[in-house]
Amino acid sequence: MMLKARVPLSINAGNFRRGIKCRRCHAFGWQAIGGSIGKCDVCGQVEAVQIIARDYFAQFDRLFPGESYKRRDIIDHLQISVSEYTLQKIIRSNFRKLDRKERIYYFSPCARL
Amino acid sequence: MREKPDRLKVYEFLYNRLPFSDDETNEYEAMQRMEKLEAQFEHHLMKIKTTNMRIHWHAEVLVDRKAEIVNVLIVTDYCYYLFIIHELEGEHYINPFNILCSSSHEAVLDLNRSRRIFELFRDQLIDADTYQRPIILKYVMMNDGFQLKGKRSDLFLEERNLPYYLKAIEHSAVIRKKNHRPAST
Repeated sequence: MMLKARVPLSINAGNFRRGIKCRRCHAFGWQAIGGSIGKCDVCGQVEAVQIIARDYFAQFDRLFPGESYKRRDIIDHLQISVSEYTLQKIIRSNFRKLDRKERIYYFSPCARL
Repeated sequence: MREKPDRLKVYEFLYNRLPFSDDETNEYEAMQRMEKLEAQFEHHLMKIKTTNMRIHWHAEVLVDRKAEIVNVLIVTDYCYYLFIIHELEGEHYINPFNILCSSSHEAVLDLNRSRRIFELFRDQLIDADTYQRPIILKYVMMNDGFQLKGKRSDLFLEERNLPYYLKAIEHSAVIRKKNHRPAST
């Protein structure tokens, strides 16, 4: 199989659409069911919110490395209503604080969820 | 276990989030097709014992300034096997210039490039001792509708023959015991 020479992808953070989308149909209508499980409104795909959130931030971090997040930013990125408990679990398993007092985080996932 | 190429992961992540140019859309679709074909190949590969093999997925090499993909590289103690996967459909023939053409006489695949890929790998896969493992390159046709008319070529491997071919690799990859002495009676 022959491809053209690789061209770097033109990624502009300005038109980047945030939010969790379905892995299968790429639709943005994703809703949390019962706190920790999410379901796609369009195709019905079901996945754990924690896993899909981790994948989202892992990919985002790959494109925009070294980005720091406030709690509000994390909620903005997810664009999904999750319980406080699930949000805390997402933050604790995927982020570390930059400073002890300030609630500013950077992406650093734990080995296990 | 096979991993998706990073570039495809990025494309999947960005799809619907950013507008894609025509080139990007074409590349994304090509990568998705390739991913499907590699998954199909992996399905066959899972049926054999791969303990004596090392499998590398999706190697890209530059041949005459164009990227060429070797989808699967299987390394055994005795041989290197390179597989390039295609899903060509319909009747094809090889013209006198060693180019695979479709029934409408359109050039589809330059088989001379296989020689270049082979040479490139031969120059790089240098074994430490005097024994240089042979390198075998195959174009795997993952479409039952593919037919080759006229001159045959050992370069091609059809999907229906792939399980037997992989089984043969499995048998040949078995590590023979050195200094084996028959049991004394």
